[in-house]
Amino acid sequence: MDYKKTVYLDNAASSFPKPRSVIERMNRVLNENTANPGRSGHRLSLSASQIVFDARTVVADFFGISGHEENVVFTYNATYAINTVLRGLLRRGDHVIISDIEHNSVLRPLVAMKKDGISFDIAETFESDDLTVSSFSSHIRNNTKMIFVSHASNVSGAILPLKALGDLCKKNGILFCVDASQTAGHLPINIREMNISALCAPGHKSLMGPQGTGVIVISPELNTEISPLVYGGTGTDSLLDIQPYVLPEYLESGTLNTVGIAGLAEGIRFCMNEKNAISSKISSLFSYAYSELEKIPHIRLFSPKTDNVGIISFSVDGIDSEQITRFLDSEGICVRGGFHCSALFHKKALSDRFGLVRVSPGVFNTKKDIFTFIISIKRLKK
Amino acid sequence: MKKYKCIVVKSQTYAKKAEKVLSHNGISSSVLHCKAGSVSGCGRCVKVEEKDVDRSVDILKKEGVILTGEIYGL
Repeated sequence: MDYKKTVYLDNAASSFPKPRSVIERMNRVLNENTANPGRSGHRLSLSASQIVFDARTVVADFFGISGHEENVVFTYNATYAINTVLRGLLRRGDHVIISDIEHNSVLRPLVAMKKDGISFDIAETFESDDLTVSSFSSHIRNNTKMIFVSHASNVSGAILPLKALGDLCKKNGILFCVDASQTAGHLPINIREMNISALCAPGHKSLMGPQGTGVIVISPELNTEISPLVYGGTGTDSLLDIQPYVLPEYLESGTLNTVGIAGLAEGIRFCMNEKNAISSKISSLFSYAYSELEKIPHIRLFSPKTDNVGIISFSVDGIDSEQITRFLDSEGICVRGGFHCSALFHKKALSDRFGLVRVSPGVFNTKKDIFTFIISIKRLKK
Repeated sequence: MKKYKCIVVKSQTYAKKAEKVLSHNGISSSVLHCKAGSVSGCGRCVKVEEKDVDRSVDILKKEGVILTGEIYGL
């Protein structure tokens, strides 16, 4: 398949292509050193440890906790990170508030944890930030331990008011945990300024790293232990039969994905270097696509025009979303149909019958890509 | 001949962090695996010149590097 002839508009699922620097870095590590980091004492193992440590430094700097490399935990994706935070922080009797746009990676663990005595409420979100914050506030109980929200919907792209929700948590002594799957790399996130207790992010979306990478960035101010999801070798205190409590290794049992982590760090460096260009490019492509889709009869948009991370979801009257994506695929255009692992969103939007078509441009897309997509959508209706 | 000591830290990440913060403070160090019998198996330490040990320990504590408290000579 000639990938250069496709128009890839599914960056909310995974970014493609990756920056050249990411590919070169991963190739270099794969060619020069695949020793196990943090295990042996020889030069190659120590060098691999340096690669991982340098990546922790990059992540800590990027999310506003410079000098706290020990608070950067590498995972294998955002779902793994979210499960670690939920299962690691919540105890029997605790109550959690989530939003009505959460991904199944938040909803499903919490539903499963009901049997462990964890309860949760779903706060309604609105276009008005004040109403959204009030909605969360109204659900706070004496036993509310945590608010867990997505920074932005993976279906509509709507951005939630992170700073205001962080302030609400601080005022009420509640943990504030965030799924930044759609925003990390696109929008500025500062753990301290936003009062975030733990941030979960995938490496392979807008952080531009490879699949198989993710992070938990833990606030240096968090004084609650996150217990591990997985137990095993951590490279230290090998004679103990209990997991040594020292971050980040406490939450990182097993061999790390050094090649992927090196690629993730390079992806984040790309995001840092191209910060302004990424922001203006996504914004410009989003606006162009949105304004063109708006003009097409029978298309209904489910994404806000403003305060959007750069995702557009839509339906075409009476046509199954997967039928539309199949047609677009036949035209060489890659978008996602269906329900986007987001039951809450689709039930709220009443789009749970035919699903929605989601278009998510990335930093390497061009205006011509959007034009090609719009022409195809117009042809579909004919 | 220079004499060296090993300052034992809690993890590989803290060892690398120790190396970084000591370097920022003009102290040369390197990460080593601890001698067998030290800590509870597979420990990490930073090797520094004996003359830098006290200052290194102060810097590491101030920078939040968790030490086990053990220091031994090479």
